[in-house]
Amino acid sequence: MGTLVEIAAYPDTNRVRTAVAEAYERMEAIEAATDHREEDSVLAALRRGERVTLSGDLRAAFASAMMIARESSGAFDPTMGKVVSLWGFDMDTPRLPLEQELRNSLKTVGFEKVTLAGSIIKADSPVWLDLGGVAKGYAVDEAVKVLKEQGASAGIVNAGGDLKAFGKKPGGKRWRIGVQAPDDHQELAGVLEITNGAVATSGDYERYFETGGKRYHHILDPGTGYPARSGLRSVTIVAFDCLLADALSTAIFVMGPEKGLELLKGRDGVHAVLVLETGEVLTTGGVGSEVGFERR
Amino acid sequence: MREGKDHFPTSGASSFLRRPTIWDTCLLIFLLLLTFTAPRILIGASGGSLKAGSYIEVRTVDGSSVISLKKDATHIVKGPLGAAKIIIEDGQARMESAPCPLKICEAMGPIKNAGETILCLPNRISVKVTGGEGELDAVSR
Repeated sequence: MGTLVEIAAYPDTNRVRTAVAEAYERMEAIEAATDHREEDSVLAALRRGERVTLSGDLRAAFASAMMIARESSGAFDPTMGKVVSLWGFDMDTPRLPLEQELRNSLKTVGFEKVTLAGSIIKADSPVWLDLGGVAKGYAVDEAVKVLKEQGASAGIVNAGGDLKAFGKKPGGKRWRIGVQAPDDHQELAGVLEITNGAVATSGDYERYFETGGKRYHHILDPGTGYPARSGLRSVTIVAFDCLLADALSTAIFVMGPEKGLELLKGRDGVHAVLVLETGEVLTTGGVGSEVGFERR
Repeated sequence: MREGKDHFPTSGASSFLRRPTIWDTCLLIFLLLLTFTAPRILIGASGGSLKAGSYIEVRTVDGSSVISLKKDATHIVKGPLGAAKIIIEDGQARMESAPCPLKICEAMGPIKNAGETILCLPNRISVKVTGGEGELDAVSR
């Protein structure tokens, strides 16, 4: 299955239409560069312990992922590839791993074990990178760059709910972005209004499976290897970059509301909408002022 | 947006409502090619503050069509794997039957709110609700 990508850009000129096609191509190239599933990919070579040089896109996505990993003290960790693979969420074949399997896989996790020297990744043991937490956001950001460079004055790139909008819509209105309510795809937790910015959500309702009467979702805690249980159902982040919004939403979901909101302090232009397990909706200070928000 | 087409072509080139453009092709190719981390079908939404939409836009490899949601009807749409049946009933659209192997599009159930989408990648068909009041530009999920 694929992620549905929608791009709208203005004005409706031949040049901008061409830019939309180029933006799609740019996203495809990033998807190919950051894919870890193909055995002949750079990331596959990395997990075999081979010395690899990262290309431009891969390097950029990896460097950003490492930055968020450091800032979140590992709540977001791009070295979770083996654990993610064990759960099968990356191949859409989820299963509950055995305890021993999980313990073994967790030994490969740890962003601090990996360093980037120029374009070369250095590590003492094979690295299982999973850039899924940043690749989509990065691709959205790059697509917007293409649109702007080609003369689009306004537009939106939406990759399965991770999106970035810029400029004002025809008519001068702000972009209206719904925040899905957990459990019911026909309900909203609220509606955000933005002019320039990105929105990304991590929720426990998007990908999950049930076995033995328990529900297991796809947002894994790098500390335990199990789905994060932090009291949150979803985290929506508004930021200037979609990559940042994407990664922060995952990190905060893992950290929980208290530590998560602490992580956002001092970050200008970054706002959050948190839906708790209790159904309560928490928002940071800028939501409702810097960023429009209607509660539902 | 074109509107008011209450009948979708049953088959063949003669029944195209319009010829596919490069943009239709780009979208369909991209839907097939773009995958991130775990593959997943998006039950998408990029419109309507979950307000009921007025139309569905059906896209296939052969073109696209806009169909009213206000009139109950059955529409047969052809894709590379064969014919799929879309039912419109009580302002909702659903994929009643499809020749794809996993039947995920059928399992998505009915859609009615602006922006909601049923996507059948194997058969290259998308059904998206459009129009309606208080439209959203996207839904983050």
